[in-house]
Amino acid sequence: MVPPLRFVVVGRLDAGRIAAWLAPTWHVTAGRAAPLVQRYLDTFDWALWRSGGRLVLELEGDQTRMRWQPGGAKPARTVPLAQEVRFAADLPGGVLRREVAAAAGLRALLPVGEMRVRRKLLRVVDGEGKTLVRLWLEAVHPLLRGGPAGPERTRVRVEPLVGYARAATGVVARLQGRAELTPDERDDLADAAAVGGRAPGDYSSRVSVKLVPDQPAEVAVRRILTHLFATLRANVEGTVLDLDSEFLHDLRVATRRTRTCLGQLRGVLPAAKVASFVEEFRWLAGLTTPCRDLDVFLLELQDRRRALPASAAAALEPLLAHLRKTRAAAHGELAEALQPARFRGLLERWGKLLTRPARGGKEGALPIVRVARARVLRAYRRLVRRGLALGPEPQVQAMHQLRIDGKKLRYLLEFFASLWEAEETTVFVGQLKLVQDALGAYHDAWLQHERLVALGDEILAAGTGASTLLAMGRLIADLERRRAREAESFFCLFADFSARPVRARLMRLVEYAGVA
Amino acid sequence: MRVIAVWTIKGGVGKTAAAVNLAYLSATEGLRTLLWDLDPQGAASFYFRVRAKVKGGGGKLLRRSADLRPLVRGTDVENLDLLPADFSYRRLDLELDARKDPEERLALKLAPLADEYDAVFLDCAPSVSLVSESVLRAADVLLVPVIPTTLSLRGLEQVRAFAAKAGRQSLVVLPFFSMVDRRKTMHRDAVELYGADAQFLRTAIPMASVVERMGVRRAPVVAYAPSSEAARGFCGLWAELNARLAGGG
Ligand SMILES: Nc1ncnc2c1ncn2[C@@H]1O[C@H](COP(=O)(O)OP(=O)(O)OP(=O)(O)O)[C@@H](O)[C@H]1O
Ligand SMILES: [Mg+2]
Repeated sequence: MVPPLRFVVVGRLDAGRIAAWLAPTWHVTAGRAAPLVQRYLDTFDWALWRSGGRLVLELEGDQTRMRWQPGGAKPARTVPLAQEVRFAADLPGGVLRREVAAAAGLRALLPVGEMRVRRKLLRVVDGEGKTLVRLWLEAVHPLLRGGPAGPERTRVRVEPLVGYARAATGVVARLQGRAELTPDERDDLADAAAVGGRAPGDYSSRVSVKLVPDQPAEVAVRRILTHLFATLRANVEGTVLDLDSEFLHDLRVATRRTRTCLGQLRGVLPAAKVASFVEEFRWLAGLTTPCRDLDVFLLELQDRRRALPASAAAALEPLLAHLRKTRAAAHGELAEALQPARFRGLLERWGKLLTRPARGGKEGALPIVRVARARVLRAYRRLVRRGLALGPEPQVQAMHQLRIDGKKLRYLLEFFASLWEAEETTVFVGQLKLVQDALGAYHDAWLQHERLVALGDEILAAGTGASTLLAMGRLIADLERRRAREAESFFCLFADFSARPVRARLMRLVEYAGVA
Repeated sequence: MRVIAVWTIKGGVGKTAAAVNLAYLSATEGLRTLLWDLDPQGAASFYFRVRAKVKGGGGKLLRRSADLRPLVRGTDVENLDLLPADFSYRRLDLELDARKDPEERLALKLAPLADEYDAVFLDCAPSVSLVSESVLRAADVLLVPVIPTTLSLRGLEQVRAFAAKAGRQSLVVLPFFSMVDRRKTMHRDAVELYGADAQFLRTAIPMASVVERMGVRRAPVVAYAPSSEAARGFCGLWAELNARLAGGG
């Protein structure tokens, strides 16, 4: 068992007392008490927490530093900060940035909670004066809008040093079992987040709905839609404030999933009630498209620029600047459209419909597992039929349609994942995803190609030099090659996907034995 | 991960002083830093109060399968770890000689640490040996402290020749003046003379008793006397080193 490294102090305890416990084996030197504020940061979807790490911005006196405690038994990494950090890329280069970036990806590092800490360092030293273990005697207090919230807690925290595990174990043994100390099982991140009404892992863009095979389809579908509605709403604020590109992305996915649910599971909910929403959600999806397309384009170009030599990268700068401007305008329009009556009204009416019990549609009373099976198979057959009908020279529109068909199938599988064998579902979704990725890359290459061609005149009119146009020409040629490559890989993958073994896997998957 | 070796043929010229202070600066800047004390005298380990004891001696650590990590000790400085030396390191040369590809051995041992550290400093004993050859092979940068005397400057030429032969193609050799006594005419002349040598770092570390006190304080000068001239020298050296490696300066 791992020995506890934190103890809650019951009653009073001072450094002298602790020193007495550790004597004569170890000597303790105590520092001065110092106050600091620890601000916990994570992505909106808790990517750092999920990786097992903790990222803390520490404000102590006039110093600001970032502390990253990776998962596992690795020592903390700290780095002094001179500038504000919004994304992992804003951090000073090094191991810390690399590890945080690997976990956070494109997402912004947002404050999730704050603690005020008053602490005193007790160094446990050997005969040479070398620190073997750090002990922190500290009082922690969650903060809400800068003011203390909830009770203050006092504790002793043991911080082992690399290579001195034996000393740490020995020190913990001396602390364990003292009347003044009990093992501390609380999580600072959770405590700090709780005062703001949040909890680690309280948001994920993944669909996770627990369904029961023989529950009425209408009840199940309502649960799915309610889950999607919560995801959609959770992303509105971040989209409007433009905290990072993934809020809009998740909002779009939640919208698309909602549309798929309404379209593919027609007959389960009362048709008359949902008809108007089909149109409204289509409107919402269309509203968010221009900004998202530009996001994707910009991310792609920024990626490419990183791979280029400095001079070529500089040539792309006017193009990027132009796109950033266009993107800012698109976001402004989107943010405005998400405020007024039509959008708010949609949310309100939709929320009401989902909570108010109503008679289902004609298939509303059937067991969900049966409805799910039929709709998934239908979506699969349609996808295969349309895919096989493609000529050797694929049409952009047909490929795009196929991609949409694929998404519908994927979403259905995600909705109903809890009804089926998890392992089999994962494998099938993995196979579908390969096809989807090729289709997505194909479509993006086409879209960006078209956009670059169209931008030529604008860039020229803006009076930029020939080097930018030449760089764009190179990009256009690259994108053409890429599109051809992706089409090829699509045909390969699709051949596998439409063949008997995969079809058999899907059949096995949706045959659920547990229903009468 | 960048590997910075501090080495020259001559002894007692400020190699360890530079390695210890620069490693400290690197760590406080937020870079995950490892200082590998390769000198059997263990001076760098002593400065950080780390008891030098390598179980089984230096030979065992050179085995292909042996992992360095269990030997790493966290210093009292955040982000700074140390691989201590002990007296058994005096036989490192013979141990290396008994192995295949002895020159590649150090690089091989460091490779698994690449994810864990941004900077590795190698503090070496002053001699031309298989160990120094292996050090040069592992290093991206070779820092050469030079006392501004004719003899030291001749030593530098030998180091350059050896580095060209034994080091990697990409090895950056950066000499700097160490223990400079401005009162001595010979020192002033030498510094002036080498002002034209583009390889030399501009920053010189002055001769100062505050540096000698490292043995009593058992800490880097930049930690206990940050505003001393010597400490500012190490800071300047570190800044210049980074600028050089970034392509500027
Ligand atoms: N700038 C300086 N001013 C004054 N004394 C110094 C300075 N730098 C180093 N010293 C002192 O000179 C002695 C040798 O320095 P140091 O150990 O850094 O050199 P070295 O090249 O590593 O020696 P060795 O070859 O024995 O490893 C030490 O006692 C050290 O305190
Ligand atoms: Mg030395």
